[in-house]
Amino acid sequence: MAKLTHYGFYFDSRKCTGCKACHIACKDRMQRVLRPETDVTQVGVDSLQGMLWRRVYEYGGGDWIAQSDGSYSQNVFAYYLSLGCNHCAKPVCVKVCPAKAMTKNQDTGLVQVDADLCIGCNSCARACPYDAPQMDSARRVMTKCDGCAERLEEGLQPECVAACPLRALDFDTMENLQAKYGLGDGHIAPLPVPATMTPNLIIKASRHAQPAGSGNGRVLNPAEV
Amino acid sequence: MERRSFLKMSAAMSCAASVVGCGSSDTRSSSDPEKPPVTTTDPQPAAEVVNWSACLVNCGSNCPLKVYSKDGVITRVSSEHETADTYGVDQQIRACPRGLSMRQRNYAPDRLTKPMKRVGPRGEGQFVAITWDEAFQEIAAKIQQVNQDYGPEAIYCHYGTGAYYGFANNKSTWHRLLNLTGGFLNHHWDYSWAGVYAACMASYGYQWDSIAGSSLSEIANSDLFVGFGFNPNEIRMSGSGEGYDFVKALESNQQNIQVYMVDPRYTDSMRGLEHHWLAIRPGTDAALIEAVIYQLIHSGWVNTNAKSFLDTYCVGFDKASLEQAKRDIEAHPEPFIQQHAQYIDPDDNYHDYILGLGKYAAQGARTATWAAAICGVTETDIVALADAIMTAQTPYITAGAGISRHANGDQATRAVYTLAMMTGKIGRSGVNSGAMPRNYGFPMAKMPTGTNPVDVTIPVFTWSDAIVRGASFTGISDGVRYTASGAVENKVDNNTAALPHNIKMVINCAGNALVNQHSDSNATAAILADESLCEMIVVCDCWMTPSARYADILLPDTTWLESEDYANDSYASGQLAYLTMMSSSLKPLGDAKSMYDICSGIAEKLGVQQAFTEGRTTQQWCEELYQQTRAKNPDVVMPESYAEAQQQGLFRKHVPEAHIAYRDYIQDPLANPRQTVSGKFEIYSISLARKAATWTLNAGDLITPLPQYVVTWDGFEDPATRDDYPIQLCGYHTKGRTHSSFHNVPWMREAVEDAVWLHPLQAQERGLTTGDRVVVFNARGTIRTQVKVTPRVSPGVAMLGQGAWYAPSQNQEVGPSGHVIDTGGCLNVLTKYHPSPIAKGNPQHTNRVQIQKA
Repeated sequence: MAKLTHYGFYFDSRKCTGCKACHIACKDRMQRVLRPETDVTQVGVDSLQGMLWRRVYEYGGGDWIAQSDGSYSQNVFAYYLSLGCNHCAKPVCVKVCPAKAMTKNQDTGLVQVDADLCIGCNSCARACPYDAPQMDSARRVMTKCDGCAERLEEGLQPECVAACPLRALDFDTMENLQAKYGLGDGHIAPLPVPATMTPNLIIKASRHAQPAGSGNGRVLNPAEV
Repeated sequence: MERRSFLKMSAAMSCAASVVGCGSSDTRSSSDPEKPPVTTTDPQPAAEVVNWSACLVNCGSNCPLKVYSKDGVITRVSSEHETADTYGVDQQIRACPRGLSMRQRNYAPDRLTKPMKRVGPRGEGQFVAITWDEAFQEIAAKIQQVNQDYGPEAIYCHYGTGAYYGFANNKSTWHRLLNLTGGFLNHHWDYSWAGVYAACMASYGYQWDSIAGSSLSEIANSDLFVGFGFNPNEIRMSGSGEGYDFVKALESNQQNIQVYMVDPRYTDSMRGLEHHWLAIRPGTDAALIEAVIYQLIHSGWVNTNAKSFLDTYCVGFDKASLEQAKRDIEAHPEPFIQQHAQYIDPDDNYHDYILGLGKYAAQGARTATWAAAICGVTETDIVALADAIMTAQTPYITAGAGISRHANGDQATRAVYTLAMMTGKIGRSGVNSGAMPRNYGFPMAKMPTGTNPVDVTIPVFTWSDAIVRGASFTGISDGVRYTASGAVENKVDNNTAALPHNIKMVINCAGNALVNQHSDSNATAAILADESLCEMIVVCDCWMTPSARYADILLPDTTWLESEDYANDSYASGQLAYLTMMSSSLKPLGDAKSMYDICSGIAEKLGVQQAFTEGRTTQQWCEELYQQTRAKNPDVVMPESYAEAQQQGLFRKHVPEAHIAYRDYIQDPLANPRQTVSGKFEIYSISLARKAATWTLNAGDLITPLPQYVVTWDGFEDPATRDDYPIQLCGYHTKGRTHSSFHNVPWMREAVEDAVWLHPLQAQERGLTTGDRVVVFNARGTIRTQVKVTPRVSPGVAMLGQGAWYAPSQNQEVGPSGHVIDTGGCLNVLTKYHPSPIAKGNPQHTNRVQIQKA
């Protein structure tokens, strides 16, 4: 049996400035994919509020200590984490889907939703610790990062990777990513400690990065993710 | 969608030490031959056509955009990926999220599609559509009438930086038109850098030295970086701009560089790049710097390490230096320069000022103990910064413009320049003058604008006051200047300049500084609403901005993506210069016209169309200007024909070598004198000594020949406001907009939340948590917005991204200040109209407010 190919993302949190170019490039394609019939000249380009196939988390913390003269010492830190879908080797979203709508592509390893099968039950979103499944409330259908499958077929990087002004993202087979970047620094907060679903995501850690599952900081931009 | 708690889930999932997150852990095969190589080159499906365009906002870069369309409608917008992306050679010019959101912006529901005329009271946004012919006729008639009744000085062309076209920009088109009909009142300075210019001319002489600091690439050769309000990763977001250059310079640094960032906000230029964040209170940078310099002088370090530099290249460090300068100026052959000698006071020297000696004995020394209580940075941290500066061999010191946009903010910028001088190392590789870095640029020909018969200009920030009392404006009272001042104000006597009339007609194009980006939006709106003051307001824009609502005649401009034009890389685009030859396959929405065609139509009504167009269409002008641009760039291979140039679209060149600030002056000061009165770097500004003695200032304002920390209105130490309004509110450039551009793009509003940042201490005192609705208010107005509680802001300080659109409550809801609440969250509802003492610039970061739950 041929070995299954796993595509995955590489993310360098040393480089990411949290600019959201990945988020917007993804959103622009998402609108084209999900709302191809919109006459944008008449009603504008759909906002698809709340649906984010790629999210950029701002994670930070630190303490402030007041001095008697009114000055302060502190050890504040912050960094960003850009996250789409990790197209896990053992995707929990596939496992929990009662309609068999969520599948892992046998050629690319990309995890995808079949909109015709999806019953909109939200089970996958509840199960995924990365918030990858994003409900299209208007259609009552689950959607998610599909790895820009049509671009991959043309040998192109996903929109988010191609857009990144800081060159903090990459996408390739996990073999190629490991050859290029090694194994990375493990997962960092606010990600959970990688569990049994074996996410395909290699991370290079910022100097301030806290270990996965850490409580040293918190997500500072809940409204943006 | 419904959101689960990501963090809660994260905590629940944690079970063991971190494991490498990849599916196939131990295979390290170099590539998979069955898979195509993954590249970033864009596809071009057959049904789509692609045109080159560019993003033309005022962020400092004009990133090229590839616009894909079908049947005249945009299908997608992407960055260019034409090269192998080798940094320092031909890196890709990747657009930031704003450029990538252009499709949604182009088709925003508030696009202006027809010329319109106001019907209700001015500012209420009631318009009816008119024909282009009617619009041209009305504007032409008003230009003639104002010229006859008052004179050309009563026609004011306002600042607008929302469309940096190479060809059909507002200056080339409107200035050219008005210069053909008797002239108009122009402005000097801008809303970004007025205080920086004032500081730079005082310290270094030449206005544009303010953006001629050492290249950011020189940071690679530096062992210490000290940035004051330096935040390129949020302000210069282009993937080939200053932000990227800064990151790459740090990446390649082999000098074990230590990075100090001084800012009231932990910015996205830090996130681990910094070794030390000095969380300063807004408006107190000069106090921190004076304490650092105290350490340098008091320890004897200056005497041993920098005294000969100060004696050779600078004026004003000590009494002897000023005595010598006074003798030199007294003997100067030019009478205007010579008259400055009488204002030089050798007792007013920097050494005595810092150490609290002589004239400054009563004030006391500027010690770290003194400064810490003011600026909020601890004594220990101040002393550590001073130690780092004394130890460094190649300190790169720089100030962003934000520290200058305060009451007396030019003082802070001069303090940074002075700190750079005190190191005694300016002119070396890796060292900077304190200025903003020099960028490379693609030389570009523009349509000539002709000559303006009006020979005086006003500081841009004073335009609203000039509507009310312009006829009393002079050089002494309001900073009126002769056009001849150019970039070397020190050498020109502007005290006699005067404005003969109030402004009676305002032309505002591609700009939102009528109401939104100007200070005190509520009071400014009231000035504009009074039709007896300004008789006509013409606005030309693509969208219904808050400023557009104040138009009498509202003209729909085509968007960048709908335009045939060209653009270079702009003013802060880093080390790579480029030119985009823009074309379009789009159908402009409605009846939108370019500013060139608009001005041509008005010119026809005024009988000057032939002189305006010279018989050329847009395409013919662009063709001619392309050929001129090509001739200016013999080092770049550019095709002979304009059509081929449009096809190729993008031309780029990397700066040949890094710039080191003032290397020539340091090597030979006599052959390369500065444009100051003395010809040297001036710690003591001789020009400011004269202004301090001869100008009329508003109460509380102060001009000092030495750079000094001064207590200002609404500042940290202001006794008049600190009790009622205990929080210092400072603006910043949000990633979600460029100034006010892109505010009407829902994708950007979702991606970057507009919320007032508040320290946990102040939030706790008020019972506020992230996401709460709050009102922020002071004596000038009330805004309503969300609060974001974050450790990334100094205690006692609130930060608000500037540029949100002013939207007074439609049902007249009144806030705690007694004003109608601005539901748009526009910072300028809270900022003061109080021109700074020297530049008469905008002090929009000096504010005190109260915040409470809405």
